[in-house]
Amino acid sequence: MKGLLLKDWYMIMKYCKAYVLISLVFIGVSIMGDDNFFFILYPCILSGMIPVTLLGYDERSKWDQYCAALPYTKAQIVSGKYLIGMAAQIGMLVLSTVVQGIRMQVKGTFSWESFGSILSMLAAISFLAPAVSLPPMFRWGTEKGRMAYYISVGLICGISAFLASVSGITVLGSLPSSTAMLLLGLAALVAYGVSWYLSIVFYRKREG
Amino acid sequence: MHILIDNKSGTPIYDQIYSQIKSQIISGELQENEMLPSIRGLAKDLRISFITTKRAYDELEKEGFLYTIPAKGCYVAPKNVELLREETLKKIEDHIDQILKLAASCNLSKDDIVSMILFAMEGQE
Amino acid sequence: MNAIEIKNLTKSFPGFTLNNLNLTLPGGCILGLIGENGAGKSTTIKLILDIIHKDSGSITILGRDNTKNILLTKEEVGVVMDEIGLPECLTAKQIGNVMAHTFRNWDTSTYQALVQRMDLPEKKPFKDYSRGMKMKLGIAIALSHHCKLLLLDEATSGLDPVVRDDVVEMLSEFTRDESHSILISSHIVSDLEKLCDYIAFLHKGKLLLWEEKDVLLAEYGVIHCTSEQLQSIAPEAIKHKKESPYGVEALVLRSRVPSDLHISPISIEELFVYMVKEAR
Repeated sequence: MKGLLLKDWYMIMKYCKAYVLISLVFIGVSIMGDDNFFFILYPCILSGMIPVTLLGYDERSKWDQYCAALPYTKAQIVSGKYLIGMAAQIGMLVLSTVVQGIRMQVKGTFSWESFGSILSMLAAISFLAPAVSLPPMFRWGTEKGRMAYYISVGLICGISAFLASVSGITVLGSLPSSTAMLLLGLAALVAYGVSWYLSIVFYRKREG
Repeated sequence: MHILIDNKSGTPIYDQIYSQIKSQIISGELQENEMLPSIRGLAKDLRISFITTKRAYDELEKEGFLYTIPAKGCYVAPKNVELLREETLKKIEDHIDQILKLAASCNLSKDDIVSMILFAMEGQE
Repeated sequence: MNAIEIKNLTKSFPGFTLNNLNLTLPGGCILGLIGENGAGKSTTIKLILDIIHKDSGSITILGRDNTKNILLTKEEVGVVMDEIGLPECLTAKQIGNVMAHTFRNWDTSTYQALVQRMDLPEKKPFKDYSRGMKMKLGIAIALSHHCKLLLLDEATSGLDPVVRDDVVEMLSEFTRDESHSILISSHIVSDLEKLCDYIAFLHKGKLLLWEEKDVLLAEYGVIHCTSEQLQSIAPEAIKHKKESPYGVEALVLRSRVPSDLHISPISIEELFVYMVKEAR
């Protein structure tokens, strides 16, 4: 298991440097600008793409086939990707929310409620996209999985932007939006867990 | 000890090993009670199959040229005069076989062959 | 103990069936599994490792059923496939670190020594390696975790003669230990033929033959003769023949051929071609 994580770490250092750079730039831009959600969301979208990207590289280099002969279970191979994804997402999440928190402080618009909303929204973005896209990737390969990823990102962005733009207006019936955000964030975390389990089941069924 | 394997000759590899070790034992190049390389070691050095090597050793042991001490290795057996005689007799038989085959291919009669041999013997005397 | 014991193994895919395969690799020996592309060699190796799952039959590997405790078995097996699927951006050194956390018995000093001996650049990313270098690194990994069984799937095809020679040397060194066994699958054996103790032919998912190599070479031969001469041989002793207006070339059982006909030795590859043509 440690070997798998180490290998993915080496690959992130090689392939995903650009992601980190772009993310930092975007976070920078988001501090300067107004409440432009795109710049706040994008780094988290990128971090959600890390496990997906790694899986793509694995398939291209036929590591998935090589790995099948190594002493790893399919559950470990799947879990490696989910763990490395989780680490990347949590890292980016912490960075983004801290920066946003500071920005709100500076601007004097800080409230725990809106801070919680942002945190939940970013968590939803970070976790929901890979949660939706990884199982199809483990089931059918990365090509089809990638499609699922873009569709899911589009949907989540749409929903979040919608929720954010109607901030203050009750969205889910009588619930205030910040509660809705919180629920969305929690739902994303649960989805990530369910997705993890599904990927293991799917990958076990796959023969290659 | 030296063993030269020729992949291109028609002789089976085990036979090449067998006959080369044997001739070195008979010629005295390999001394009595001298230790031979292990089967695995020889197979590795010659880059040939383990079973091929084992077969050559088995054959030599069966004919009394080697003896094995379990867990230690294979050694050259003391020379056995009777054995050598038998060995030579076998060689003669093989050659006669060869002669008969060749004779059959040009339709020589039994008498022709006998007279050829007698003639050759007279020449040597 | 047998290193691999396959009994009545069957596996069906759409368009291909591996049919009732029985195959044994005795411990301490080298088995050459020979077949055309698509004959089922890779399928067999994947089934052995339980990477794909059998429909029926049983596979015992290093004394254990392959569906039980496969992780422990994989620790003891070195696998080198046709394409070495290592991450392209990793260097030999990084790959060594990854493997050190993968195999319980990883031996860093053996790995470093092998990498050095084979002149593999430690700091170059894997994608810049030539095919020969990739294969050598694959073999170095397989030999660095004290495995007892090597499975080589088309591992020597497409290598230049010098690298093939290096590979032959490493393999013959590996079997110096009597608890070490090797299964080599290939569509071509040539220089590996000498190493093999046993030979198996696979054709369209069926085993045509499994035999000790020396027995095969002693049993079969080729004769070149006229068609009249061929008639003097019992028909069941003729396994295959190629006729031309000028004469006949035939694969025969040595023991059944009259002594006046000259029999030439046969190579495993020739034997394979004859047998596959016969099976068609």
